[in-house]
Amino acid sequence: MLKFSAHPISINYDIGLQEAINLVEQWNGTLLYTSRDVDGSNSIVLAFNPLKTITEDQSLESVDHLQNNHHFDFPWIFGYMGYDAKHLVEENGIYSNLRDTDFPLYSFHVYQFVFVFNQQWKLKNGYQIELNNESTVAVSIDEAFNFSKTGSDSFSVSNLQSHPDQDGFMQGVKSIQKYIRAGDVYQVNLTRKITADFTGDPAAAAKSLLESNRIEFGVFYKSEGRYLVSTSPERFFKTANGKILTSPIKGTAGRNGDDDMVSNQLLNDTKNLRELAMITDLLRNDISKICKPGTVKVKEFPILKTLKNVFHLVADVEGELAVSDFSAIMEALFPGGSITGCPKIRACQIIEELEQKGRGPYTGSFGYINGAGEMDFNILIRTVFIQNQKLSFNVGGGITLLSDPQDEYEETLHKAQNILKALGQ
Amino acid sequence: MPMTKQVILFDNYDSFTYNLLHLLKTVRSGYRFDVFRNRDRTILQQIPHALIIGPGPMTPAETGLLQEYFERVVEKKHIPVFGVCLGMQFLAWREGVKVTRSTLPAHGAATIVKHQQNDIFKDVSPSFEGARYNSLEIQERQFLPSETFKVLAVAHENNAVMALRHKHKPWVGVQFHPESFLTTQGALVTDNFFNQYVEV
Repeated sequence: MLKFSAHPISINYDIGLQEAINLVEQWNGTLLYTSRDVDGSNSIVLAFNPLKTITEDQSLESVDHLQNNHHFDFPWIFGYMGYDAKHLVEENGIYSNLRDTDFPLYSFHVYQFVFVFNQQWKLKNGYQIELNNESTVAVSIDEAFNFSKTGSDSFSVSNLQSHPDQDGFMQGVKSIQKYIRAGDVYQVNLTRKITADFTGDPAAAAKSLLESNRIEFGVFYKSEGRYLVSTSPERFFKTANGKILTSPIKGTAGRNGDDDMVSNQLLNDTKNLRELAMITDLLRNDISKICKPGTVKVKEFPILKTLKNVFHLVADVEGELAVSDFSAIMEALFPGGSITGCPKIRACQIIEELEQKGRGPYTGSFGYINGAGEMDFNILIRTVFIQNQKLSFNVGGGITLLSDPQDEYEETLHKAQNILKALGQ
Repeated sequence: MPMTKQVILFDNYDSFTYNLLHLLKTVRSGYRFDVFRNRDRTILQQIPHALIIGPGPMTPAETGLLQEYFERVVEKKHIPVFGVCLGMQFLAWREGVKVTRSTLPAHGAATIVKHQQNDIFKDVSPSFEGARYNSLEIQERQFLPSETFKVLAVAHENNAVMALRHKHKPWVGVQFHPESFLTTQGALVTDNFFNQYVEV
């Protein structure tokens, strides 16, 4: 049995975004933005040098065993569940095994070093975790911080391809509308995958992306040559004090200068409000599977969320947990309803049929578990993957009967351009 | 205290089943509620005190095991049934009523439900709002067999059937979703079902 211990450490190195990215690049690790968390404020958590990794050759319950043995009051298990892991948490035969093979279905890590900063990179706390067994891969603090950076600081992206292409995507929108009229589903989130050749320094691309927007649930992650960079604004769920909170997003409006007008329009838009209501009922359902009867409440509906460039509509749904294991929570909730459609199972089947490719980690969830067993996970949207000189990301939207195929396609173009712009391309 | 009863909630692989389960447990905390998914054939050995047919995707004709359960158990044992959305459509379809594509498909919309304040709407407000998540519906004008069904409520916008009951069997159904957070008095409607169809 693995035994971990942790003790506080201090460091004499100045760390900002660049240094944090370099550390993740050098040692494999996770840089995670958290919102209203750790100590109630917004924090940035940097963790690197994996001591223990749980990936798809071990069951999800392996994460529970780690989760339940410790009493640290800081984030110490980090990782993701990819969308393609959905068949692992559903009855056999409901989903195919369709998957993207670039990334493991899921990966969770315990790292040697964990640092918690405020959003101005002022260090709040640092911890070193020790694994008490013979096969230790720990390094000294000085070793960890003194290395010469190998990256070139520049990169380029070329040869963009879309799967499906414009025609395929628009046909997909029409197919979904047929399914809606026939009573199969109410809404489906359809995406297309953009792939490109990537040359240069993935860390430089990550820095561009992370600096491009105000980030609430962003991530920079590297493991075995695979990079994941997320500028997600969406919390999937958070557990604390025996409660679970989920905050689905539906509805987006660009801020064009007249904030009052734009936000009022968004707050009164029928399509968006109906989609948000649907997802709110879906998330109520999913947390009801693991909450005490009568405790699941819609705390606020709708909430206007203001980001640097856009407004979103959000709802907060909360309940009192009847379970605490990571795998039990994921089995009830995964994948997040805001990126599948409703009803979820039929929507995911239609997504498999129309997208024809796995989504990989995209629209899965990245987050952490703290030493008290509490969790905070995002929805992996606005996320770029780099590995083996290939870059990829998905763009998509919620398709309803009120959607226009051409408009939906253009919306995905717009989203793709935003990501490429954030990459400086 | 009513005696403990077993109630089955039939899950059509829907995303609102557990909202309904929590509503049921809140309304009848002393009852035992068991959820059976629409491929779990062990249901055929079950003879509950009531059956709740949860909502779900697709059409009444595509409900598979539910039809078999009705043939082999529900109809023979005269089990009280409360059908929600697809569940209501199924009850009507089972008696030969045509379920058609809605003239006003809506998903996540609250609609005013016109009713007579009787049956499952006893003590329910006349301005009651129910959440709609449906592309299919039963239109009142096509609703022929008045010797079989009584319409209990219709939608304010297009008079589509929002609730019905069978005249000879203990079956009642609602097209709106009593378990939605958009529905104002879903608990009262559900309570009325137990009072009037199960605890008699």
